[in-house]
Amino acid sequence: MNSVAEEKVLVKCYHCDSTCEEEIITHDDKPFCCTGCKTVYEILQENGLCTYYDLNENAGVSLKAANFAGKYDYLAEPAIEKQLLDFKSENLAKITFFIPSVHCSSCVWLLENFHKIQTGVLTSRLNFIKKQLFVSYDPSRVSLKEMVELLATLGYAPLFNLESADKPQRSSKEQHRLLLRIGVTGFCFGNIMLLSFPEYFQLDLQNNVDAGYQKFFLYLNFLLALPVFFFGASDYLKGAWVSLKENWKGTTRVLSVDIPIVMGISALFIRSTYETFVHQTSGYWDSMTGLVLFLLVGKWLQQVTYNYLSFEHDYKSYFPLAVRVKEQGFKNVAELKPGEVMEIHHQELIPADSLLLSEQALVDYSFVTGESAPVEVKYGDHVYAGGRQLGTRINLQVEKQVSQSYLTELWNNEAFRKDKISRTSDFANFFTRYFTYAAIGIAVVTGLYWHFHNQALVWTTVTSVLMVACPCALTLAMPFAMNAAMTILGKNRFFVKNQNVIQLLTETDAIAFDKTGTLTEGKSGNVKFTDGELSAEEKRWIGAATSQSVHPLSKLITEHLSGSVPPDEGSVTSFKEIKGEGIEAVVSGQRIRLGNALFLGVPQVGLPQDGLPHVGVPHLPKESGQVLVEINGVYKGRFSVKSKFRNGWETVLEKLSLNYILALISGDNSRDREQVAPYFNEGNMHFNLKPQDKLDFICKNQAAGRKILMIGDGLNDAGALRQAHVGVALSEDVNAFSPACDVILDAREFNRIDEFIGFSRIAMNVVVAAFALSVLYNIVGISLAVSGHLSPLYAAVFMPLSSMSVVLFAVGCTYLFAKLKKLI
Amino acid sequence: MSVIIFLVVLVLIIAGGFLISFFWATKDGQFDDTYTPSVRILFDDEKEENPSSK
Repeated sequence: MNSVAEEKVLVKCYHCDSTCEEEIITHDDKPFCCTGCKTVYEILQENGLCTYYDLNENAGVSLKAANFAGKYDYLAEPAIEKQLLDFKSENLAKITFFIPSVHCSSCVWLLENFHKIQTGVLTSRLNFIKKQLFVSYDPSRVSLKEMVELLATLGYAPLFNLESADKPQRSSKEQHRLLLRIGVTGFCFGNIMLLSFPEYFQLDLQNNVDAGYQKFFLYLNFLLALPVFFFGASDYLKGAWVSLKENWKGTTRVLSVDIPIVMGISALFIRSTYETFVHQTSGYWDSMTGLVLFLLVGKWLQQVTYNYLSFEHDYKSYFPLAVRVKEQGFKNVAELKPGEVMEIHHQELIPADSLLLSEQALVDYSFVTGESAPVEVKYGDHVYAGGRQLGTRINLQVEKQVSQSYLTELWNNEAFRKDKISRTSDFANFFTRYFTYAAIGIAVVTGLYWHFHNQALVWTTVTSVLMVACPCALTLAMPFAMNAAMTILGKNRFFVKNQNVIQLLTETDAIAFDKTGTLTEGKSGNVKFTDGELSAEEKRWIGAATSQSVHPLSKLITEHLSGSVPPDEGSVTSFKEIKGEGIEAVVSGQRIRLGNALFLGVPQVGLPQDGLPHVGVPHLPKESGQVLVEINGVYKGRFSVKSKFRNGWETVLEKLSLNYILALISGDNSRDREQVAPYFNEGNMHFNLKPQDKLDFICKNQAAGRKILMIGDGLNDAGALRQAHVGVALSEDVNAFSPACDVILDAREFNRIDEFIGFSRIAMNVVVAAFALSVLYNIVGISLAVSGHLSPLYAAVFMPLSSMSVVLFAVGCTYLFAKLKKLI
Repeated sequence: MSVIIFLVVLVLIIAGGFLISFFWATKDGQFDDTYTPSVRILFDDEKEENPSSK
């Protein structure tokens, strides 16, 4: 048996490169693992697109589980179609698909050649990073549904959910504006530098020719500086103005960092204009434009983010786009009204709170609550949105609109309404609060001093102080160092939403964990068979029996067994499930019974074995997650199923517990309590929590002054993730959907989370050191300025030099420490 | 000697042309997706001529 299995391993599917386990379909002398893969090959061959396989080995997507009969019927509904299309006229329609399975250059090639496979498609263009396919097609020749079905057949099923109907706002506009600003400022800066060179090398003003040039360069520089001040720096000007207005009205007490920047830039601009037109000497144009350029580059770095990840998902990304409503056909889920009757099929998500009209149903709420066992519902019972229907088709009467249902109400919570970005770190707050006052203070004192000693120098020194005090090195150190840290963390698959998050990370003092999917690996469990041996045939019988049941334990056993022998489902002749006890089935004439000790009549812990029907039964530890097996009345052994905890979870919790208060907030029952107990205080372990309870837990602790880092994975953590100081979403596949959060962490790196937090602290310390360095520069610069020695040439050299060295220091140190910590 | 002034102005106009092309490229979205074009450029176009090759 084993040797046969090993031989089979060697055969790999020509299309998807997965091992052909069950059967090998040979077509055109090439092996395929399933008919799905073969179909794709045939389609590609017919259209002469086999280059697909030349570009990358294992290019294809495995289609083993693909079955979409009727799945895309709702796309034929005109109302739904209209919501998805970007544009539609009689002969031209445009749509953007999101295709999660895009993974290699072959995908780009095939999808961009989509028009060769599907008649009616005019053009198709892929954005690989964002996994978006832009298709324009002729709606009179091909329908949306046909197109999507062909894409799905090829293994590139587009993803539709409730969010797809909301047209995405083009956020790239903002980025474009910034790029344009950088372009213009860079252009002007470069030219001003070139035109200032004669000045640096001392023009001879007695010489007529030189003097003529000097004037020409002077006015040209002025003209070139105008767009920099009014266009390049306009965001800072606006920001400062808004901040001043708010302070005037008393809505806020904090002066924004824009104010000292604008003071610096304005001082440079006014002073240079004065020098140019009154003294006919060169001003500080090069310093001013250089400064604005650096600031803009820093700003650009600041908004760099992983644009292939989305940190803003809400329930809409999880909900289906459309549902079949009785007598109305398909309808957008958001438009469901109370009283309407909808049909939900096996494995479909229930989109709204409703009443069950069918006799009974089994609903899996693990998605919402984290509780793994499905709930049985009877006619007339309430069914909550977010549950997944298991089994046959059911009818439900909608009770509440989608946006007001039990689950989605969470998103109406205050935590989701306020913009989380507004949460600034203590550090930045402290800095901006005092810097402006200090700068103005020094300028005033200097002015007063010179007023009494040498009136001619008042104007020069005051403007010089404001120019030098401009916190440009300070404001640059932060984005550059944080950008370096972000890049390094991203390489280790710890993706932070933006730079601010790194600062927030360093401030946390407590960590709350979700259990299912966070400490444990998804819903999978560790299944072990003990107390005996099972032959391959027996395994197949048991697999066949358990595959009939939807109980989580049965599912795990089915999964466990199908790894070694594929179950033979057709052979089940009778099947009975007794809720809470076990299952009884006849497979190939064998009577199989699986269940707990009570069900099989097996004694519990410590009972004497003599005189009991089943001989050879050892002491059974009394715990849940035990499935005993009996075949034809003979006890064969038992499966023990334990939650599979993530690799290294114990060490990481131990390390974290040294510096943090740890808490567990789980939506599941407390069956794993003993296993996690050593790492959490008794009072900090909570089970059976609803999503709202988790959110409340965070709120309660925040009220007590704690800054909580929340680590979770599911929709049931969404509220807590949002409310927490920093929310970390753990994800098996970072490109898949994760709830709204600040950090997306690849689940494989879970055991290194302490390193990542540690590194964010280092990065923050580097920033502080860079700040100290730039303050030192500022003191030197200001003392030069106060004493009246800051000539344009000094300024031209000093200001960029200080900024550059601070930036280099910050970035260099961040990388150096990352190297020392073995993060790169 | 006014040739230098003439040259400076000329150069500024030419450079301004590039600045305008940068504006156009940005608005056209050329900086939106900086990865896919690098893959796309490697594909051959000739395959259309002999559809059943390979």
